[in-house]
Amino acid sequence: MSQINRMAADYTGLGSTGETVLAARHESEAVFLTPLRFDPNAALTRSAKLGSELALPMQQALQGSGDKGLSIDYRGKEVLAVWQYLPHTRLGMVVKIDSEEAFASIDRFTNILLIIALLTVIGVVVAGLVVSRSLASPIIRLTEVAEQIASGDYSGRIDIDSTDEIGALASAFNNMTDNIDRQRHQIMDKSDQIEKRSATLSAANEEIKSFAYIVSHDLRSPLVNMKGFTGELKFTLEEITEKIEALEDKLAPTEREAIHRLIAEDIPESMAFISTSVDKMDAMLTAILKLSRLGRRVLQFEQVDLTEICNNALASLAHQIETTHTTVLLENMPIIYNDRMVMEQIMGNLIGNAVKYLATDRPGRIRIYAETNNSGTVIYVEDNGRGISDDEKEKVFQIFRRGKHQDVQGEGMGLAYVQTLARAQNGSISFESEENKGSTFTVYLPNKPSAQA
Amino acid sequence: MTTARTINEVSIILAEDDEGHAKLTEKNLRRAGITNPIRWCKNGQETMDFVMGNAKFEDDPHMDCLLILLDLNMPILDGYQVLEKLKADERTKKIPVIILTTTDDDREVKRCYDLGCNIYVTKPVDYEGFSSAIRQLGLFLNVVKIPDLG
Repeated sequence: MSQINRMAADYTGLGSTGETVLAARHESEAVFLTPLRFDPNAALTRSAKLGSELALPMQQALQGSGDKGLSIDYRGKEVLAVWQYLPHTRLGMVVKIDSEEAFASIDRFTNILLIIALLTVIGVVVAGLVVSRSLASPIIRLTEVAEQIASGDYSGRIDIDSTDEIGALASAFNNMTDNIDRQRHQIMDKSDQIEKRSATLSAANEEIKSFAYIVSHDLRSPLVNMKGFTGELKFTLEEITEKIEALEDKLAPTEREAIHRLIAEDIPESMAFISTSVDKMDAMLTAILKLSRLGRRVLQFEQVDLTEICNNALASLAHQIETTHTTVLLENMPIIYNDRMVMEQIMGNLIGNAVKYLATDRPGRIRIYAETNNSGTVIYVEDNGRGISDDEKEKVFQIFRRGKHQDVQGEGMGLAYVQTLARAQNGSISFESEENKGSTFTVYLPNKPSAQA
Repeated sequence: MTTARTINEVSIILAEDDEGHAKLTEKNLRRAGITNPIRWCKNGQETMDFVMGNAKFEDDPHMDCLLILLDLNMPILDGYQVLEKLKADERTKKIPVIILTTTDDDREVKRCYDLGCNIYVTKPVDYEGFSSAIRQLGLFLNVVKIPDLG
């Protein structure tokens, strides 16, 4: 018995709740033969009734079957057991350990796994948040600064100096903003310069205009005297003539003749020259005044049919066109939104010049056409006339300067007018010409904002 | 007494800085049959002094029924200023003022009418036109009635 007891009391490897239990069957009970771990006095005194709910492994062992698994021991606790019937001794043997203890390490392992998993999840979430914050924060900042710049405040810069891609982006962004800001300042400076220059130009233009006005007005005043007193001289001369005629018979014939010549020829001739010069000067002053007033006339915009305008101009030149056997090609001219009088003056002038300056040795050919595009209208008047020689080209638009050919009448005002009219609308006039081949004059007029736009 | 007088009793002041113009105007007025006394004032200040009866003109036979032919571009005081002053003063605002000048710019014309001138005549360089204008003025003055300033 003591050997058995010793064996039963050996808990090596059985943890803190494991034991080996031996029992024999006595009638309907299983009697424990050895001291139990949890009941040291159980030997031969404690028993479990067969068929009860306790010591199930032992019950089975004593009924001859051996097995292993989870069961309930003599305390009613769940145990992990192995049981066997010992036929030689007709004993039942159960080696058991509390399932709690058996699974403890597994449970612990499971718990550790769970904790690790949880920590990992938390760690990932936190890391995710941190990374995204570290990514988003500069992006948000970039967005803020970009918006600031878009709204016109160029002072913002990103203060990120990490060495990664975000840092590189921020750095590039700052550089770009610096560049934009610098260029913006350059543009503003240029625009200031332009404003100043155009203010100066405008002032100079005004000065020129009022200069022209003053010059022509103040120069007219002496002309009034010159003309006036020439007239007075005429009256005086008449009176003298009368008085001389009354005294004529008192004079010698040679004397009479001499006086007659003085009174009737010399004096009137001098007066005539003075008078003509005064008239010329008056005409030029009037022309200058007119030119200086051109800028001031208030323009009235309407739909102007250029074909109609050209036809009117051509009609007024019909005689010359016919006698010079000139063909006129008036191509499809647009209807443009502009001032009627201005267009009449421009077309009248250009077409008039084309007819005036035809070559005498060949039939004239004049072509009038136009192109319109998004920015404005370009009108061309092309002729095959005398053309303009290279040394004359500078003088074309100058007031009072005329071509070499003296057989053509005119004051030399036309092109100066047309240029002023075109410029007043921010347009321009130019020409191409070859002596003895012909000329093409081009007028560009920018589009006006239409009333019906 | 505020009876109107015909042109025969009126004295004409010619405010003109250019002697040539003044002479021409006078000659043409005479040719138009105007026999009234004409007093030539060489600039705006002299015109005002004379009209206002300033001390330095005491020896001059000062006239009191007046018609003024006024040039616009005079030194010291120009025609606009004279016109303005005349029309602003109770004593002188009824004096008829005829602007006689070389300017025909319509802004100038409007300005003169705004200041209260009665008539505006342009002196053209064309002598025929000038003398005709003056003569017509003379004939016109023949029929007009000038208020007596008393």
